[in-house]
Amino acid sequence: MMWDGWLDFLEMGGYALYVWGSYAAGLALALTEFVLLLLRKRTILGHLGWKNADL
Amino acid sequence: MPLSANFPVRDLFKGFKNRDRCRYCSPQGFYPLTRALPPWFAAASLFLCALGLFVGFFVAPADAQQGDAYRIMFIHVPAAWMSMLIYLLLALCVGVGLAFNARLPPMAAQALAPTGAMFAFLALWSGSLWAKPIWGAWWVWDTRLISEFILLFLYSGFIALQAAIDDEHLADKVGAALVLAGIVNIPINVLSVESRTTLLQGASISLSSPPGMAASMLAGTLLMAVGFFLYSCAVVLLRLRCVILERERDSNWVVARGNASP
Repeated sequence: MMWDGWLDFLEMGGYALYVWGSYAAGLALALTEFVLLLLRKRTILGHLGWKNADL
Repeated sequence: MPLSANFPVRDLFKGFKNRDRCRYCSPQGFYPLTRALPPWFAAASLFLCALGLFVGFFVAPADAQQGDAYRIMFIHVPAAWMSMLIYLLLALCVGVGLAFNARLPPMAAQALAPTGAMFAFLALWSGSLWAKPIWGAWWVWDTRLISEFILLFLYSGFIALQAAIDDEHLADKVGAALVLAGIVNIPINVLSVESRTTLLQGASISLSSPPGMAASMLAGTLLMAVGFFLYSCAVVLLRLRCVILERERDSNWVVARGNASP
């Protein structure tokens, strides 16, 4: 194991802000994109008035 | 969305047997794939990204010069790669759409652009966070950085143009002109490493020479890159499904599908 426990891992050798800032942005962007797409799908399916929403 | 129900795995290759027409070339024929494939791509992407992050954070050692700051590479490099790859696919789509006056490629272009913009933004963001501790500045006016910045603006311009023009066919043509003109940006980005007009380190990963980094660092980067590619496949297909329905909402096949019983 290269890290001395979780705190050492989270500290990321003093670069925590930069490393975790990058990965947090990536995660946030991906989740946002995914949720926006689900909302868009729901909107168009509602707009079409389909009986079976999963067609 | 059910994973197993309605998955047309048997039908998947039927379209290619008929030489007269490819069924997946039309929005109607392609539509079932946009329903069936995204969950599989998403699951594979999750698996590979998790594996890539594990290798990147728990197997790959700290860098001799940059310490742990280099671990930004595992998200930065795949994001930058994807932003450029998606732009090439975007150019291919609008080019084919223009040349053959086909319906599906412009829809695919519309589905690709937001994800490409997202990756361009992520590459800039993570690059900025990498540059600060290593170069001492959040941003420098360097060829490669400017080129990535312009890439983000090309994506944004394409999305804005498409949204601003009500006539879909006109929007497709104008958007295609922008994307095809902007493709000059890609070689500028790639060649800036060769010509050393960039502060960025030379290519550590190349097809013609052994990698200039530890095998575990390379493995982490490649796993994340494949994961990002599969993520793009999932999200773009999901968006393509919306685009197809939005654009074809008045066509017979969409109406018929809506009336079909479950």
